[in-house]
Amino acid sequence: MAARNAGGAARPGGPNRTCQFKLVLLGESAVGKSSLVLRFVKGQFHEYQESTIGAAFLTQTVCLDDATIKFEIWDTAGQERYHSLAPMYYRGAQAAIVVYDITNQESFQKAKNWVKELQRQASPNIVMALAGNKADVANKRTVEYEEANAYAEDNALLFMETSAKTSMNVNDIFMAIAKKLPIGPAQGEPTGTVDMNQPQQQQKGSCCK
Amino acid sequence: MSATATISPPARELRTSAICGYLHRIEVRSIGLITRRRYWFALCDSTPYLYWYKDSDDIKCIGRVSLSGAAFTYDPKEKGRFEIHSNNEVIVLECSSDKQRNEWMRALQSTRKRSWKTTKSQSDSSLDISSLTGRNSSAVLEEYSSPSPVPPPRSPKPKKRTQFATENLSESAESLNSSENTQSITEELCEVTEEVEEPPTPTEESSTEWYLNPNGQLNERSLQMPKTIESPESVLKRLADHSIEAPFRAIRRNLSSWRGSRQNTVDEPVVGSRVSCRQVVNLSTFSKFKKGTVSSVDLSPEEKVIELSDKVSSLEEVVDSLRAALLLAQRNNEALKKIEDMGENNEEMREYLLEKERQVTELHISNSMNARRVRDLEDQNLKLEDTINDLQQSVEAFRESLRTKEELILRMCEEDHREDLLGSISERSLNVSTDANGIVSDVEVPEGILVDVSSVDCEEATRRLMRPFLLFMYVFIFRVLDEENVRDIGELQDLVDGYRTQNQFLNAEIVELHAIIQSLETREKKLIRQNFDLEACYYQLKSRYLMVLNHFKSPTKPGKIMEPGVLKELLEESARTPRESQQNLTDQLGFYNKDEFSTSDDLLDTASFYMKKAGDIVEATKLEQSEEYMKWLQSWDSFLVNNTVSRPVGIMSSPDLKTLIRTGVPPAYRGRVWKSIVTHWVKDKQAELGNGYYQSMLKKAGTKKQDGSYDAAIKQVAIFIDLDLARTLPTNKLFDEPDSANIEKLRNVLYAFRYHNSHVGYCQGLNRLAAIALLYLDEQDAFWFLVACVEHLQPEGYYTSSLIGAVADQKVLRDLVAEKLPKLAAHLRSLEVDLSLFALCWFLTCFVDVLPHSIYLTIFDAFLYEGNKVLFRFALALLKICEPHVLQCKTIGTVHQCLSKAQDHITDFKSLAQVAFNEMNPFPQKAIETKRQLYVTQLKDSGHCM
Repeated sequence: MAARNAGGAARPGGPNRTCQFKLVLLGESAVGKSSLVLRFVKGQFHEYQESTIGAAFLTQTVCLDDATIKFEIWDTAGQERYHSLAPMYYRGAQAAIVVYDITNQESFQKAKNWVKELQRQASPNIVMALAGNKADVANKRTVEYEEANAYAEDNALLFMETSAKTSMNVNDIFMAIAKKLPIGPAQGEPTGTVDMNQPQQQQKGSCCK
Repeated sequence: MSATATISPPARELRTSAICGYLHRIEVRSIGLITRRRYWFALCDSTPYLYWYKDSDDIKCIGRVSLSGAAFTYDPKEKGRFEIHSNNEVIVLECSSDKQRNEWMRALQSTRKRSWKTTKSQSDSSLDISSLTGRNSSAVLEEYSSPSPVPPPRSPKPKKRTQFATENLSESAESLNSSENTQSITEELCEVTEEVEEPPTPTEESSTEWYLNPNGQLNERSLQMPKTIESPESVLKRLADHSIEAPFRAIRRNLSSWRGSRQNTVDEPVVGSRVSCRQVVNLSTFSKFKKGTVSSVDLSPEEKVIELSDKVSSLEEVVDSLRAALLLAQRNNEALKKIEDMGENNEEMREYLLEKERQVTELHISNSMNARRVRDLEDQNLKLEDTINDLQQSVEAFRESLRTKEELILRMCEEDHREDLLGSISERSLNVSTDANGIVSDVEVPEGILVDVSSVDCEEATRRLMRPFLLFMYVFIFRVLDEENVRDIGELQDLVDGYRTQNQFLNAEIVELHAIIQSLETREKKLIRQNFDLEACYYQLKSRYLMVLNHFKSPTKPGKIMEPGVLKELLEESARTPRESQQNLTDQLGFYNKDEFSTSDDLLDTASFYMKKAGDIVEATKLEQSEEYMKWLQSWDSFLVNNTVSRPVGIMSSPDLKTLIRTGVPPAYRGRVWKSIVTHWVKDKQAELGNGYYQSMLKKAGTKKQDGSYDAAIKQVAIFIDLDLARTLPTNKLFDEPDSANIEKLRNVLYAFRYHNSHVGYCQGLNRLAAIALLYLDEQDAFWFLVACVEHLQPEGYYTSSLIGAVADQKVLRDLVAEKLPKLAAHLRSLEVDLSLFALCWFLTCFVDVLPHSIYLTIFDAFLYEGNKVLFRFALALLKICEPHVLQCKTIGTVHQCLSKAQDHITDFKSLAQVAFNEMNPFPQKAIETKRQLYVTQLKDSGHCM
């Protein structure tokens, strides 16, 4: 079903299609969600990235061999009290990156919670990735790579340790997601008529805790 | 008089001296009609204007007057009245007492002083224009000053300066203290009596030149107080001494010289009658001159008589000596005849005789001439005697009048005493004044007599003498009258005191005005130099520009083509404009300037970038100079002055103020206004919690921190706060690093707030609010700002753990959009776009995250005063402005993109505010509250989820 969601601007005869996907970033406060997005979208990094209130919306396009993928990225706020707003953002998302800070064990636990929540409440076919951010300060690491990797494998998540500061694995993780996203054949559907009604309706009943 | 001026204590936080109160403004209309209106006047040090309002509560002023170049003056005779001279305008005000006047004058002076001191410091710190060639601006300045120095034309200027000073002070200079006046008059008089021939120097000139020497510096003497007034008697005595002594001296001098010459005549052997004749002629002219001198003297008739008799006897002596000479000649003649008889009758002898004969006849002739002269002299003598008689008569008359005056005085004293006993005080004082007038007219009679007999010089001298004399007689009479009447003399002393204080005041005034003028002059010079500098810069630029133009216009002509490197150099140079210097990386609030130019190789890009930048600068300057802008500033100034002085703490609510605040608060006043508004909201809470509440909250945070004994939840909060500190307003220099200037304050405020409101604790977003507050307020006020925002301005539950209030408001917004922007609402609905994805942070951070600071700060102004409703207005305005763009978007993705960049369509606050405050009406608060209530209950029932 999710495959239908790719509203590609079909170019007849051309191998290149443009598909839009909604991607949401989740994770604890100050783990580097916004920094990852900023690095991916603008190639910038700010040591003191402003904390996000509610969510921030950005877009970025990546080119695969046979398709152009446009990410609509929702970068959410990490603070616990914004948690209740998260469903609003991950509703209908085709991809999610759950971010934790490798120097912060607590953020990893939080990430696990997010994964659980997504598994329970997001679209069933959502492509999930786990990003262990701040890999540039690996000397302060408290979350071992193996531990996270094992968890990711158990839950069928993409996993990478990233660093928004050094841009390590940043593009890679987005590309990996892009590759995993189902790029369906052009169906002539007008762009934007994303078939999100179904999951939304489902969630309306289920999102309340 | 109903004027009630209240002197408020100086506002603590501003350390200003402020004064306000009801005063009467007295205006003279064109037809001589005098109007007297009562206004509320307010003055505070923060602005160089005196404002007046209809009433003490008013926000809009009726008028104002600039004090920066004003002069103040008053007349001690007019109770409570003073004048402000500014820009060729005179404002006459009246307060109820002299004491109040003094307060006002002091306040006015201190305000003026402060205003020019601030302008001075501003001009001192104003940015130096560095030349394009990168030379140090001071070096350029030196260059300007050294080869072609522009020394101020020293000699004519001070004169102008005095004129300037006296122009404004024209009246003050005139009324420059009657004591001053009389003193100078007496001094002048002495001069006049001693040197009658010399024209007297006019009083006005001496009084204006008195303070400033030709170099424009103050005379040493000018800072001293003028000599205190002597008692009228002593002045009278001195005056009398001078007036009598001077003629005496003159007479004595003449007499001695005349006597000397007479001795000469007597002692000299009579060689020839011709010599003596000449001497007689001399004598007669001498006597004429003496007569002139004598006639110029009026008060010494006796002396004149003696003088004249002396003269007559001397003339007789002359005649005697002449007779003796004649006898001698006759004897000579006889002797010669004898010789003739005895000697031979020769030709020689006859000739000799003839000669002798002729001499004799000559002598005869001269003798008869002498006799005639003697007669003339005798006639003159007679005339002089007549004059003496006249003078004696006038002396008699004078004495008579003096006697009558004395009698009158005595009689009045007695009457006075009697009436005093009778107790009719007011009637008596009336009598005194009329009597005094009578005396003055009495005194004038002998003056008339004197004038008749005196020569012209004498007349003038007499009048000069009589004027102060009369004045002092008047004073004297009053003194005599009041020896038993302490009240009247008290009044006089009061008046004298008044003049003395006025004198003191005016002296201080002149010194101050002088200082102002000097500072203005230095400022002017500085500005002129800056102007030169700019002009040089301009021409440099122009020549370069022409060079570049030529380069591109005629690429074939070899002479006009520049070297390859030159163009690049020029570009680099143009990047080094003064505004790009280090200090201008951030604006005044510490926000980094965004327009960093990414170096591009494309010349056209560079050109368009600079064109835009130049356009922005020109636009900004134009705006700052526009009338509207000035009016806006003035209305704020007017409001603040009255608010500061009338209500040192807090602000009142009024529709006028609402309208004013909706126009935005000028950045310079924002701190004060915000503080006032915050105080308005939290004053009850402050009173309840007491002084030092903030410190106690801080202390709580501090001690807990040291113990390391906070419970897990609070520790968690502290960690979050610390994490967010450097992540607050990262575009601002004051917050962008963990050790930036305001980070510690921000931490304190957030920690304190966490303890103050444990229900909210810390919510991301509050850091924004606190940081914004810290841009203008100190730590404690920022804390109360946060309290006001969370607990008073935003509805309940906005920042609590579930954000229920903010979420409910999203639903309210959705309803309002449906109501106000139905097209947009329908479009969003059809594309299934959830507005709250974007709008939530608008409400939680009051647009800090989406709009540029110049706009959101202005939104804060209105938000602080009106509360949360304003956020709806601006949210709707924002949506309305980008509505056309959203309507063009046909997919959910493009709508999202459009809404995420909604701020890009906002150019300035004014257009946004126009939509927010005018096009959204009606905008009832109640409807919003009802809706919110409904949604909050709904959310609570459903367990709160969107």
